[in-house]
Amino acid sequence: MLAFLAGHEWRVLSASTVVRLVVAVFSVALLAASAFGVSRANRERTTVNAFEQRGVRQRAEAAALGADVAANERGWLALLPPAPFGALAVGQADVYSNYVKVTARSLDALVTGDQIEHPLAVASGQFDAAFVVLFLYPLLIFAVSFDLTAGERERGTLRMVLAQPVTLRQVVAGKMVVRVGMLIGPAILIPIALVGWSSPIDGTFWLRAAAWAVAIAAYAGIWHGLALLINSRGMSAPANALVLAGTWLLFAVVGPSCVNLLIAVRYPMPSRVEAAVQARAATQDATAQGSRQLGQFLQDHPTSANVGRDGMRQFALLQAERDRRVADRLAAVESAFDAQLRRQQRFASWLSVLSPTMIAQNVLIEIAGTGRSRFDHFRESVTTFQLRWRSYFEPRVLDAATVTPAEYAAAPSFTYADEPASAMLVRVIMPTAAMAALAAALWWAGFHGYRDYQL
Amino acid sequence: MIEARDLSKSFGATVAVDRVSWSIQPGEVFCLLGANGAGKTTTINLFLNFITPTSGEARIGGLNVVDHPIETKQRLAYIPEQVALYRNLTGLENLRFFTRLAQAPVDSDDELLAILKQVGLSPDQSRRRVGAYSKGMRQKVGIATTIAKGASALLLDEPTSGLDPKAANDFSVLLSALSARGVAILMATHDLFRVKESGTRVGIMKHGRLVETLDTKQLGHSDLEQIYLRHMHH
Repeated sequence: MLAFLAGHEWRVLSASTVVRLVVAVFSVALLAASAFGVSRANRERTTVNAFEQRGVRQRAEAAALGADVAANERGWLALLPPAPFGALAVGQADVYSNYVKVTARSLDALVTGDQIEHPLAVASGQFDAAFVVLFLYPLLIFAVSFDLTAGERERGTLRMVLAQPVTLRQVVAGKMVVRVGMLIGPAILIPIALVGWSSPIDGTFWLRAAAWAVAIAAYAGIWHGLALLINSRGMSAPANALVLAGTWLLFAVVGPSCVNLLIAVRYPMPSRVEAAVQARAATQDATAQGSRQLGQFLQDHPTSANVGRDGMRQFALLQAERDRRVADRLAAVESAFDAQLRRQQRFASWLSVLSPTMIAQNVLIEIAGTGRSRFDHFRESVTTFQLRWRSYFEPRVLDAATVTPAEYAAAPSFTYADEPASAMLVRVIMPTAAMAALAAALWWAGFHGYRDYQL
Repeated sequence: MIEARDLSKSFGATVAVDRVSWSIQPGEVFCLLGANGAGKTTTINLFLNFITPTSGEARIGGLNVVDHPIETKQRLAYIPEQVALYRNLTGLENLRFFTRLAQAPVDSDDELLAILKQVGLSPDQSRRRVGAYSKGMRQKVGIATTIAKGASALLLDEPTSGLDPKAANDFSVLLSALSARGVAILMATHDLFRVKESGTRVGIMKHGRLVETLDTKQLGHSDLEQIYLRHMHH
């Protein structure tokens, strides 16, 4: 019976120009957003490949050079390749850097992730498949669902149908099946198909595709459930539309904006400029002190001829000491900055329960691989690599040695290895389950509400 | 076949149907006559199980409609004042939908077209979208549904209201044919002429109560009018 009712509903709906338009607009928007994303990811991949090859080439072609030059001036560019599903969600990729220059002294300035991004901020900046799903999808769900039964009740066809051996809940279930199916198909298939077409398909791909599908289904389930619940109150179709539009505004726009405001008030972050000024102030003393010592050394040894190997070692030691002092001061500023950022992010993660859009945003960018966790993992990997790099070069630098081409070629190199996909699953499973539970509750309340529906 | 047993329905303090009882046998056309608000449509809604009775029972084919909603609706057909159909579908498609929904044995397009022809819709008309149908044509699709479904009970709510005389007459003819097939018919109406012409019995409702039941064969048209007006004025 459900299949028959759904088939009939499909015939009625597909004859409607508005519904055809809704599905077309949704599909085109998803197609365009996914295609832009694929193109962006391809560009990024090409750039990363070019830099990787350049690094390998430079190392292969190098003649003998000073250890300090090899370790610090040249260093090593650690690169983060595009995320597996990065084409579908920009996420934090426009906030965090996808490369770090590694030297024996330190990493590049770490103050990069200075602003936490919430859905609205990301949405206003980027057009990607996640944006279409998070913001446009609920609106289109409402566009096809605001008149679930009200119009049929007003026209009288609902009475004609219910005079047959069928229950109202069966009729409503048939209507819901079609509405869910006509929109969830494109929302899942179009982005996955484009990513699959543009990148290699392996086991991880299918795992992420399945996670994307489940997350989309849970998120869409919430909005469909909300539409069902509001329809079950027995209001007219225009009244339903008004209430649903207000709900969307509240949860998808006003909610995230308020959350952002609360975060900014509770844990204000210094601006990037302010952070840079603080970092400069913190390192100024250390730099000046170190530079004075180096200046004194140069005054004592006006020409390199009277320096000798021991003098060079002494100079290298002074230089290393200055660098360490600067790095320590900088680390203090950065850790304060990072601590505030973590507090913001923790607060944001608590507040995100106020808006399904914010929960879904976090889930989708985690699945895409453009969430903070991948950048954190990249950072941790680079930090580990920097220790290896330093332990390889530091003795040579302090010894003021010359690095031979063979030694240079044998220096450590960095290739980023993604976390296992199971780590991503662990992070998304709870919020996805929470969304599914909320969706189930709304559907239950909606069907329950139809018990008292007045014909 | 269509039976009311002390059937009552109240909405808060307002009593819409007050302990009405009758039994309509196969082939009988029982007309409910009454002013607006007398409780005729509420009574029909009770038989359709759209609302539940406050007390008493509405029974179709011996089954209580509240306890057996699906089984009773399999035996029941309903034609309201405005037969509402899906405007984007043709008459044939509408009939196919309703008969399949009713899980009726009639299924092929040929059979459905034959039924539509029987009620006065040519194959050409049957393949037109219902959006272009007149009220009389939509009523015919409603009658066709009753036939295709093989319903043994028919509920009609002001079916001839707004029909032109020719269409109303056609409708009466179809109703008589259904009656002759053994269908028990309950018709709520204002139309005294149609009651006299099509009804076998008439019940007059006032303030939710069945104040009088008459056999139409024993009445002249003017008698019915006088009795009805007498009840309305007291």
